[in-house]
Amino acid sequence: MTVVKETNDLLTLIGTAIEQLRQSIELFETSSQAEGATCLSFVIREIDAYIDRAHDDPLLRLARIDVSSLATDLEHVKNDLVAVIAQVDNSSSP
Amino acid sequence: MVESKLTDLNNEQLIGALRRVIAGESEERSPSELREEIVNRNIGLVKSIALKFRSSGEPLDDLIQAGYIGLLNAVSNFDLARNNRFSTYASYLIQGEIRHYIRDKRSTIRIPQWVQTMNRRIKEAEEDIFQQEGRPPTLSELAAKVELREEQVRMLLRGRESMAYVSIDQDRRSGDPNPAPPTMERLIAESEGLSFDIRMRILAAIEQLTSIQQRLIQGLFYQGKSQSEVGKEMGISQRQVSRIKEGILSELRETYQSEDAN
Repeated sequence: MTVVKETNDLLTLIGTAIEQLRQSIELFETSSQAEGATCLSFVIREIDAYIDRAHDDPLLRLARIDVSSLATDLEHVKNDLVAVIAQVDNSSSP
Repeated sequence: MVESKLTDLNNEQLIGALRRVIAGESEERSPSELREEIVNRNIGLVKSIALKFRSSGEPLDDLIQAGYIGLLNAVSNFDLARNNRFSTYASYLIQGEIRHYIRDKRSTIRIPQWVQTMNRRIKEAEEDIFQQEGRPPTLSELAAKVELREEQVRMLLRGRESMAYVSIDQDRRSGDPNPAPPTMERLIAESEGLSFDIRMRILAAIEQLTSIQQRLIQGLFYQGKSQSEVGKEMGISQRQVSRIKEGILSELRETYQSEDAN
């Protein structure tokens, strides 16, 4: 079971998320849909946790990235993943 | 022409009378009176056409209002010299105006973000292969390049054709009322299995994350400022800036190693 860790900066979040998303693709393709969805849930929680702390991320200040526009982009990613999970749920329900 | 005869005139004759008044050849009636007579006469036509679009979910009154615009356009543009029936021409424009109204209300065709992302990847892959080989790519080459299966790429290419059709149709917005093109959602829903859709959406999410990452790197390493300047702006020391950058590079290495391993 993957545990949500305190994501300190954007690069850590992206690195972790990409790894989890790739794993989820493998799981979906080997018919482990529930496990694939768990990976996606993990990424969603990581994104949520990061957005809560994004104002404290020194990288954003260093790179002059606007926190609110970044949050919007990450919300889009999250929404896409939520849609995938909903699709998995729908397909697995009788 | 005397008033008692106005009701005896057919649509085409009324329009002829309207044209004569507008051209200053007659003063028997005002243009607005003649227009009103034509509109009143064709209210039934507008309503009957609007009723056909009830399933759109738009209020009937709004559809009728849109239909009136089509009717008024027909009055203005009808060519008497062609000897066609006005009602045929008016039906055409009324229907077109109602269709356009419905399309505008639905803010045209919504193409999912992930489909747009995948199409962009396919286009880039096509161009790369063309540059390298001097010929268009085969389906298998394209599939290998974008890391999808051949049938998945075929599906996307088919969707892309329909999007081109949408675009052409929208360009002809001021013209005729063609039937609305199929939506991407419907095409996908009709032809896709679960795993394809999921894989594509996740790949699109990865691509979006990667682009955020690129934005970050761009900001960090290409703004041309010294570590001292950046540190001053942020209220931290040059040494702290340096440490943060080292951390970033280390993260990047881990990320790319992880991607390579997969």
